[in-house]
Amino acid sequence: MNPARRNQLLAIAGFALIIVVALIVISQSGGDDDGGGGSGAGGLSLAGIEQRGNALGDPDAPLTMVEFADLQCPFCAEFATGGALAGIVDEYVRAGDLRIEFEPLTFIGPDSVRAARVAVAAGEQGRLWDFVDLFYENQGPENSGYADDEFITRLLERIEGLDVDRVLADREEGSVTRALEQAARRAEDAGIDSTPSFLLGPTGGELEPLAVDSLDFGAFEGPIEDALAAANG
Amino acid sequence: MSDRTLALAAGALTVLGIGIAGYLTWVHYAELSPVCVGGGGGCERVQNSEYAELAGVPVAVIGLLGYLAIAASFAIRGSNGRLAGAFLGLVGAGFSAYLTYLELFVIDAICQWCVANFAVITALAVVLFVRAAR
Repeated sequence: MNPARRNQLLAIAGFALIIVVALIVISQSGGDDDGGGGSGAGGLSLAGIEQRGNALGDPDAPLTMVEFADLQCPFCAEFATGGALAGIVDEYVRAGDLRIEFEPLTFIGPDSVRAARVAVAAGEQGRLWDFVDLFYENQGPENSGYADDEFITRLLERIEGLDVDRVLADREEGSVTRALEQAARRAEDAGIDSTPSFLLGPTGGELEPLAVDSLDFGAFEGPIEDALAAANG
Repeated sequence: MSDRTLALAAGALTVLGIGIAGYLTWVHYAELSPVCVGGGGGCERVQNSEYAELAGVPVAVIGLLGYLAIAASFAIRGSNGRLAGAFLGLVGAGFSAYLTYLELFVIDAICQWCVANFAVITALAVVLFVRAAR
């Protein structure tokens, strides 16, 4: 190969590398533009914590916890608003040790479906956890029809930086339907038959069912510490 | 290996890539789930992830445009066309490698179509680079 051709090939390889790096930077910043930490309009302090889709926390956190929950489920509300989730978020998520994925199930009834669709659509703007927190704080009687557009809109309007009209439009999208179907399948695959249920394990690795005997922060602290110690070798 | 063989291989891989990227583009806009061998929700999970779009453009569309650009480079005679093809192949393979990394370590789900695309674009990049080096 003559030197001129070799230089041309090195130049295109170098330029290709620059373009790939630029594409990766755009890809990584795309989620932050839509998310990047909610305002924490509810009781949960979410400010400064990254949100992407259904995930809360640093994508590179060593541990991942999956929460399967129905937005109408009172025990899920107890977990979300009773201090356990706040403790987990403050102690582990904010520290970058744990990320949490929220998988919305809709087995209780139509209000669950309406709420879950909005949660997923809010997730497309990086605000799922803000909505979920607000919803649990304002949870009404099961299947009373309370989760109507007026109720939903009122909650959404409390979330800073959220495009409410876009959420209301996006909730009807096929991508939202697929996300809910996927959550249901994931629950089925994991043998989940009640809510809230949890999986815990190393990020990107095998997640195991997390059985807790109460919905207090203390019940989660031990298993998370053990998993963290295992993940950190 | 003759230049003709390399050209035929590049053409075949490009057609294959256009097929894969075209199919993924179609299911994206038709709001369908990609057919995955052996079932599983990997493709849906990947397709529904926040990484399925780049600056608002579905990555399947970007891939399709990339393959079409490579096909267009075949029409440019001489070394400029070959260098353009090699450049596009390298960019495609590099970005596809990044998307495969995301599937394995971030999204935690594998889409067989994306893996197939990664294999095709990597092979295509090698062929195009070897052609350009001659």
